[in-house]
Order: sequence, then structure tokens, then C-alpha cells
Amino acid sequence: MALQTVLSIIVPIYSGSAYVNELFEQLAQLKEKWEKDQAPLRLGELIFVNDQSIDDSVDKIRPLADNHTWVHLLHLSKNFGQHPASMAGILHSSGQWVITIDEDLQHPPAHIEPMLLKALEEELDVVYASPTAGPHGKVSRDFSSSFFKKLMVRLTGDKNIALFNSYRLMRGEIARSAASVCGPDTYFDVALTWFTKGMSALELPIKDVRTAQGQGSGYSFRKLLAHARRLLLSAQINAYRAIAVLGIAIFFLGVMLSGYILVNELIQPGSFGSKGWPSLIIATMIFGATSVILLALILEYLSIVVQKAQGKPVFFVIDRKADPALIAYLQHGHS
Amino acid sequence: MVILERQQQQQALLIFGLGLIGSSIKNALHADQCHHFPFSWENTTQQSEELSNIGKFLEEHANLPHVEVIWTAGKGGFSSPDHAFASEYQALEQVLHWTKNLRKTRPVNFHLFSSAGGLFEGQILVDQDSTPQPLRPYGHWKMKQERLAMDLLENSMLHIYRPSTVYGYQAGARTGLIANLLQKGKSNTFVEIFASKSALRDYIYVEDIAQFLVHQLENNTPAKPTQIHFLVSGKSSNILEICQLASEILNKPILSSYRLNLENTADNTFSPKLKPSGLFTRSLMEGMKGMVGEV
Repeated sequence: MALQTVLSIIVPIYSGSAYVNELFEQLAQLKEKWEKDQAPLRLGELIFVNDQSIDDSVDKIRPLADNHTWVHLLHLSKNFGQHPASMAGILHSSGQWVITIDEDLQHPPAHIEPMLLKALEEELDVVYASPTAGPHGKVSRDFSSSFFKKLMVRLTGDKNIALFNSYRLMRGEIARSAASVCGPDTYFDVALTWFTKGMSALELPIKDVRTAQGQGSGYSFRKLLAHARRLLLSAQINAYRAIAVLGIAIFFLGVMLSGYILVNELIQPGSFGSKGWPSLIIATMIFGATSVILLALILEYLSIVVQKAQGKPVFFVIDRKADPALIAYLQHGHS
Repeated sequence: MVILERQQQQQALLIFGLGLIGSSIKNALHADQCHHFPFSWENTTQQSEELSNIGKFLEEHANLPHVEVIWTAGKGGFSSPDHAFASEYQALEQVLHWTKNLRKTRPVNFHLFSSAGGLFEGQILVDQDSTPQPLRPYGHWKMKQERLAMDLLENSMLHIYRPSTVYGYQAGARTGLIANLLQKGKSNTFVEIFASKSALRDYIYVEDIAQFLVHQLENNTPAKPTQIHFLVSGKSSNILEICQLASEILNKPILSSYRLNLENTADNTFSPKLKPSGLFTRSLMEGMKGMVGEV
């Protein structure tokens, strides 16, 4: 039997009652298509992760899990949030490729094949869906999300942050390894960047139907802030280097100012008026600058320690041997 | 081997093989009495005599009419060559014939411990429809043992247990990856791992297996067809995850390297739906914390 690649699908569930059955149907159709095509790819498992859902999603999912061997339902002990729920699902997965999908049909399964083809053709390990227009249909929400990501790209120098999206296709071993090193405050996608830089996005016409219809996503403002905080804490902010540069600049400014004040005192004694001011300003600038430089140094060491504690690996090895067969199948379907 | 007496249940439990699983089962059973009997694993002639002595013991203990024979023997390991399994197979055959004869005089159940990892090596999302396709002598011999047991014993008396990757610690028993990590981690010694960081395995704690067997013995209803039980957790973990957990539990880094042994890089996972009712599996964190004091 030819080498067959298995895809695992993870769906965090919070308030997806209106959508889960339709989502299941679409995924079942995809599974059937691959079986009928005898594709080198199969949909091995669909893992719903119940994040203490607030509606009757679980009542709808339970019969699906009971009647289909490939459908599973995990229950979290409390509402942990979408990222932890995704990570729980990922850590229970076995597929060589893993994809996380939102519960509300914002992420149609029809896009899975194009995302996978992009990953394989460009030797990527993570492909995000990139909405062609603001996915939430609300200017304020879309703008703030986009603005924050751009700010983080500036602060960290990591362009991949702009790609982050909950509709993500990942190589299984990378997804599971990233999830296994994540702590409670780690932003999962940042952890992914520790294992691979092979990331890109595929522009897709995706839309947050629920938010656009005014139903709300289940994300309160407070939760969004917590989300942003996690991203801030997980990403390696290069600001401390800017702090070090500032400290050095102040130091040299202090040295130059000292020289100016000294020369002035020699040429025109008493020209600065009040006694003690020149020595005070020189001391303040030089000692202040030294403190800033030392602070930057401490932050740099702390950053290294934190990254080590968070589990950032020194190296990671992956297996691409199944890729050629998949590329051949997917290209044939999309030529 | 040992014979355990459970007088309230009127059971005599014969455990062949006191490695990791056998010892754990013995401890979990809380027997009223425990009797050690010699069993010559390599000498079939001697085995006949020894089994005869065991038979006499059972005859003398008419107050224990129900006999449960538990085979957890397994000298050959995952990487052992073919010839390491022959004597074990012959010993099993001898015991199976003896058990079949014993069945003529009293109710007897046979519990055979096989190996899901050996039978389904390299397969992922193994479920009820999956077919065993062993890749190495260990798996082939386990499959042969299962077939032998099914051929020699009537369906109503045979239970086959297929544990995934069992972890735990027993002094003198073979040390698996997790016990090795904890041991070496505690002593700040370097550990070489013969697999890749991302290799997926299903790990089950040995005490969970023992508890399940106790549950089986207490709820066993005869006259059922041969039952095959997959003792799996249904949640696979990669080696990186295990090293992280070990590091967290010991509060120090694990000094390790990865030897890319190509035989051990394939993933092997099981559907959580294979778990039998009555099997409760604890998390890796809990299991490893339970072991750390013992290793």
C-alpha cells in the first residue's frame, strides 16, 4: 500500500451549535472524496475540543462521535480559551498534517487542499489563511487586529506575526512539538515560529459570518486584551536593544556635554550661573546612561533565560518523504 | 512464577512472569497469600514437572476452585532478535496445554498479555478495523502467541490484552524510555534516545493496566467469546513532550541526544475509542510523578 498521509482536524468548540453539523458534513464529504480518489491523503480524525461551551454544541457533537470512528470529542475542565483548546486538540492528534478550524464555518474545509498544496510546493511547514477582506466585517475589530499585529512585527522584527490566524495548516510534528512546549501564557503561533520559519499565508475569501451578522464571536474585549498580552509576552521584543542604544546615546551625549561645560568654564568661569549645576547634570547623565545600559543587558539575559524556560529548541528535525506523492495528487486536482 | 490466593473470591491466580507488568498486577491484587513456585523458562522437561507440582497445589486447595492464569512473561524485548523468543513460545505452549487440561476439572480463565505496539508498529490511528502488521521479530512472535492461545483454548476462557507502550518502574525489570529519563535526569547523567524527538507513541502507566486486570477479575463473566482488550490511553505523545515533562518534574534539564535509529522513528498511535470500559488511564504527568520517587 502506498504511503498515505493523515490529516487531523481540530475544532475548538465554545458556541458553535448552529454550525457544527454543517461543518461535520463538509468535512465528511472531503473525507469521502479522498477515499473515492484513493488519494495518498486521508482525513484520519476530527477532534472537537469542548471548551466549556455555552450552548448545546456538545449535544450535537456527541452523536457524531458515537456514530463515526474518526470523530472524537474532548472535554476541557474549564473554559481555557481558543489557543489552549487548539493545543489540547493538537496534543491529542496523530496526523502528519494538522489543521485548526473555527467552529462557525468561517473556515470552509474546501480551502484545505489549496493550503496543503501551497505548503508542499513551497516546502513550508505552516500555512495560514489570509482573508482577502476584513474577516470580521467590523471596521473597528479588523483595524485593531491588523494594527496590533503590525506593531508587534515592528517591535519583534518577525514578519510572520502578521500572518497569524486561527485557520492554520501545520506539519503535525511541528504543531505537536510547539504545543508541548507551550506554557499557560505562551502564544501558540509564536511557539510555532521557534520550530520553523517556513510559514506563509494563502489569500482566501474567508469571513467571520457570526460577527458580521452581529452575533458576536464569544470574544469579549477583556479576552481580546488577554490574547494580545499573551502575544506580547511570548514574542521576543527587541525593545531592550533599543533601550541599550538609547543608553549609549545618552552616555555619549553626557560625555560631549561634559566637554562643552568644562571648556566653557575654562574660558568663561561662572558662565552657567548657579553653582553645582554643571557637575550635577554631568553626573546625572553619565550615571543615568550607565543604569540604562545595565538594564538593557539584564533584559537581554532575562530574555535568553525566559526563552530557554519556554522551551525554544536549539534545533528540530522534520520528515518530508511523503510530500512528493501528495504534491502530485493535489496538482492533478488543481491543474 | 507465583500463585496468589484470594479466599473471598475463591480464586487462585497464577502469574507467569514477574517483570514490570507481572509485579504490578501482583501488587494490585492484594492477595491473602502468595506462594512462589519455580518455573524453568528454558527447560521444557523441567517445566512439565513444575506444572505438575502447581497442579497438586491446586488440588490441595479445593477452597480456591476458580483459577486465573495470567501470562505476562516476555524475556524478549522490542529490539530482540528472532532466536530470543523461541524458548518463551515453547514455555507458553506448555502452559497452554496444561491449562486446557486443568479446564476439565475446574473453571479456568487465561489472560495473555500481548503487545499493541508490537502488532501495530508503524500504524497510526489504529482502530477496531486495523489489521496487525508486525514489522519485527517481537511483533511477529506476539502474534504467534495470540494465535497459539486462540487455537489451543476454548473461546470462553481466553482474554488477550494488548497494551501500547507501557511505562513504570520495577527494580530488576527492563527500564523503558520514561524510567530511563527520570533515572538519568535525577543523577544528572547523559541519556541517549534511540528515536526522533517527534516520534509519537501511546503511553500507558503500568498501574492502570494492573487496576484494569483487577477490574476484569472481579467482573469476569464466563461464556463470552475470546476478548481482546486494547490497553491504550488514546492520547499519544512525542518524545519531546516527555522530555519536557521529565524536566519539569525534576526541575532540571535532561541531558540527552537523539540517535536516529530508523526503526524507531515511525509513529504508532491508537484511537481513544479502543479503550475498554473499566480502563482508566492517568495522564503522563501524573504517572511520571508517581514514578519519580521509585526510580
